[in-house]
Amino acid sequence: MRLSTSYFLNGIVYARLPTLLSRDSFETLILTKDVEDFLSRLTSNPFYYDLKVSDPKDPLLFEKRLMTILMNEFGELSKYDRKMREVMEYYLLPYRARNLGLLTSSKPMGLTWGEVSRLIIPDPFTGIDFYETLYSLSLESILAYLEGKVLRGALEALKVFESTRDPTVLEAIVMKLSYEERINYFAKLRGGGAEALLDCLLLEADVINILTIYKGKVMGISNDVIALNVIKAGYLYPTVILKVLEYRSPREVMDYFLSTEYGFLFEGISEAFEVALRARNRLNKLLYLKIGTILLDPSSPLLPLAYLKLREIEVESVRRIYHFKRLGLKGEKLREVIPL
Amino acid sequence: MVDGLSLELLKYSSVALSVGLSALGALIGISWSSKAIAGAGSEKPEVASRNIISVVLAEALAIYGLIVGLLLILKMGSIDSLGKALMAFTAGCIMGFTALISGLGIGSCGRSLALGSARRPEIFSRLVLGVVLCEAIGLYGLVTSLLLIMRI
Repeated sequence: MRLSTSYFLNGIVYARLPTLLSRDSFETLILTKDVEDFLSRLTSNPFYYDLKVSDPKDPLLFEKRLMTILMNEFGELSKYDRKMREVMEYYLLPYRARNLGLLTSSKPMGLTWGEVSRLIIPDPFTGIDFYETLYSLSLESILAYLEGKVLRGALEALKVFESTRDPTVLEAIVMKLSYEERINYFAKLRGGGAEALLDCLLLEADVINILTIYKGKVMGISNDVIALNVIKAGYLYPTVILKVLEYRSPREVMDYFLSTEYGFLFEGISEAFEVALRARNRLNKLLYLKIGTILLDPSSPLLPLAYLKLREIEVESVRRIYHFKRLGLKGEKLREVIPL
Repeated sequence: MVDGLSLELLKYSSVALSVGLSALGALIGISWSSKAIAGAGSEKPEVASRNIISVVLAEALAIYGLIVGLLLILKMGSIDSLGKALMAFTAGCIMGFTALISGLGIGSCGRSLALGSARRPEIFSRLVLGVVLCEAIGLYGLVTSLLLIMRI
């Protein structure tokens, strides 16, 4: 499937590129005194203007507004081109899956719609009504709907849930399926940076799998449950995953990957709690470089998505700085968890 | 020997080539560059006002073709031999094809100029030369065609 270039859209993207936070801007944000200072500097960037929240120390409000800004950007750039909208919808599947996972797990947890709606990430393609309608259905109906619409295999989650009675399993499986579906879609795209983007998605899937196994071992979760969370896509061979699953300790998992091309994730990390933050940051650094190559080609049809991927990484960093500032942690540590 | 029909065909096709291909070149130049200008301009209006030069220069190509076409029509009466008919045909071809090539260049450079200057406005003054030089190709065609027409 080959996409056609929309130069109108690429023009918009090129005009928005200068609003991406530069290295100097990040340095300034790291050196801010407190959360108020951080927010006042951040909101001087037009992209983050809407973050001028009444209570800067309310993390839930901050997260919600930050995600709204990001999702609005996705929505705005997908409204000019029907094909781009489809690409964006598939790209945003994990976000939607997070919402759907939340809906499915909220049923057995007995959460009310009011509680669930506060945690739902704004979806640029469907309004909150869509989720409210789904919430009114039974767990089985929600999964059957997902199976028919976007996530093949969603009904399997029900079988697993019935045997484990663990609501988080539902979320994890829906999330995993969304990553698989997204990769399947992007594997069909050809030309104009599609290969570079697919490379990033496969790399991301590998890192998620590695971290899932590592975290599973740290938390002492059984191999069967970890295997359910493993995304069936990526560069890692299934035999490698099965081999690593057999290791007993997280240290063995780390040692194994240190000798592979994924060694960069664990280099210089000794504490288990550091792994998730720092490894993810190292992946983001790599993705930033890979995605940057797509931006150099003004005729690439995937230019808007490349820009949004950078924005997504940036938003993740902004979120980390905010929480560091909110908790009053030292700025030096921040440099290790954001992709400068 | 060339019959009357072939002579007439050469005369009229020279006008068609000059005006038609120039218009096609202008169309390509305008449509390619204006999409990027519109996109970048919707975010930064100053980009649109500066980059409008690409659209103006592309439109000028259609005017060059029209000038050559009109002059050829005015000279129709004096084209009575194969030599003159071929001269008119060549003039039309030169104008048409140079305008087409120039239009492709302006469209491509104009698009890149709009995208580049949307990202870094300071590069506009340097990169605008690319669009102007593409336009010069059409101008060479116009001069050559006019010199040929003057000899008819």
